[in-house]
Amino acid sequence: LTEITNTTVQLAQQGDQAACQTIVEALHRPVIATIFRFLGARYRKDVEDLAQEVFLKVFRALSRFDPSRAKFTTWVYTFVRNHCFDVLKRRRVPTSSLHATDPDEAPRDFADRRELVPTHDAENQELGRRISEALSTLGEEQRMVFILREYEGLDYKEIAEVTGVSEGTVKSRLFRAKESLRQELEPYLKAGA
Amino acid sequence: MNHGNNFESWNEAEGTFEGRAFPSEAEWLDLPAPPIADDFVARTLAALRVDADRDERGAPEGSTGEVGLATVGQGTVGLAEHGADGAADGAIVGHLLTPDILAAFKAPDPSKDFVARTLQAVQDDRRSRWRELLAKYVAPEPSSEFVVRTLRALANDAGPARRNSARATANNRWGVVRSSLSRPWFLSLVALAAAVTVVVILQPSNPAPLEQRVADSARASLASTYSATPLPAVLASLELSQDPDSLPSGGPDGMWLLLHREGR
Repeated sequence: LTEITNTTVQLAQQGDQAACQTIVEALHRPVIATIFRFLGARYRKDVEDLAQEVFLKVFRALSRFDPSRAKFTTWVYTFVRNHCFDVLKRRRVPTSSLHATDPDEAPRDFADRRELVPTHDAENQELGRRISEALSTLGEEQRMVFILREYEGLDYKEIAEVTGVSEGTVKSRLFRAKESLRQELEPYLKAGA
Repeated sequence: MNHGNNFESWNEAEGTFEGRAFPSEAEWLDLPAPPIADDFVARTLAALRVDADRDERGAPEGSTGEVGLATVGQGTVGLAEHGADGAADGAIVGHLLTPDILAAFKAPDPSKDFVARTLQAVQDDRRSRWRELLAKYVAPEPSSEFVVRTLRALANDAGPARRNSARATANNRWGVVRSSLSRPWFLSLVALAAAVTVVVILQPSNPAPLEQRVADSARASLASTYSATPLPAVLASLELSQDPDSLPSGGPDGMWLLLHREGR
């Protein structure tokens, strides 16, 4: 567990290279993971470039970080969130549906229970793809809240700071996101149970 | 107005009953509520209860931000590491959508050189932005046309009356010097100035530039404190007013540029 201390942030604000490296090393994996999970697999090739753009924005604005107002990691996630939304706005890539018409993308019928238990890599990959598709059917705000909560482990207060809404709205979005996901993945879940 | 209570004819996608046109605005208030699943209230309350239980137990609230970062940072998905709260998480996600299942959606591992590339990009970005910023405040060289025009204007301005006036001023100045030369205090003053000049010329060596001495005596990270010029602060404040996404302001970058130029 690498914690970004205020001292590290202050040194980075002064241009200290070692402190900058500490920050990038500690946060690059969660930043990449969040971007990938939010934007989906179609951005797989771009995800590192996007993460790098996030870090450039973070370091450009570093002098304005106020530790009394938020945790540094929470502050970084606001950049991740805003950058992901910018990317979607800029590129306007349509979201994919679970009910895709492409034969290769068509939902599978999990009739065989052996396919439903994620014991093999291939099956895990298939399940991961299904979850990715289900996530892409969520609204952007619901998706971001779900990823921050369930994958990155942020608490409601932190998610509220990242997304700029109240904790009540965060809970409501999270609840709706989970309900939608449950419905989208229902065939798998029922068989898997 | 009778809409009937035949909920089976309700079209979920259209938001209307089958066979009926969308109601006029006047009819909206009389419309019956759309059908709600029998267990909607029970499911909602159960979900809220589980959520509240999890919050009361304090986990993964508070520390989860770090847990998530750490676990994902090790190339695994944070959900699996939530430990004792896994069951509660699974329940709230929708009874069957457990963390283990969600963990199948794994993010790709970053390239080995991602950190190095990113740090280099950050450095390049800072350098180029500072160059752009400094370039904004460098005065351009005067054009040859400007120089010629200025000289011509000055030449035209020097008419006969102005030349006479200039000659008279020069004569007056020579008269003042001639009268001063005959006074003893003036000779003493000249001797003193000559002595000072000799002392200055005989100084052993020229001191290093101020920036160099500052850089030698202060840590780079504290360079802003000893900044030899207010220029970095002025530029930073100007930049901040023009570009809210500007680089961090302050002195270190100015000193950093200086040190970088000197290859240190």
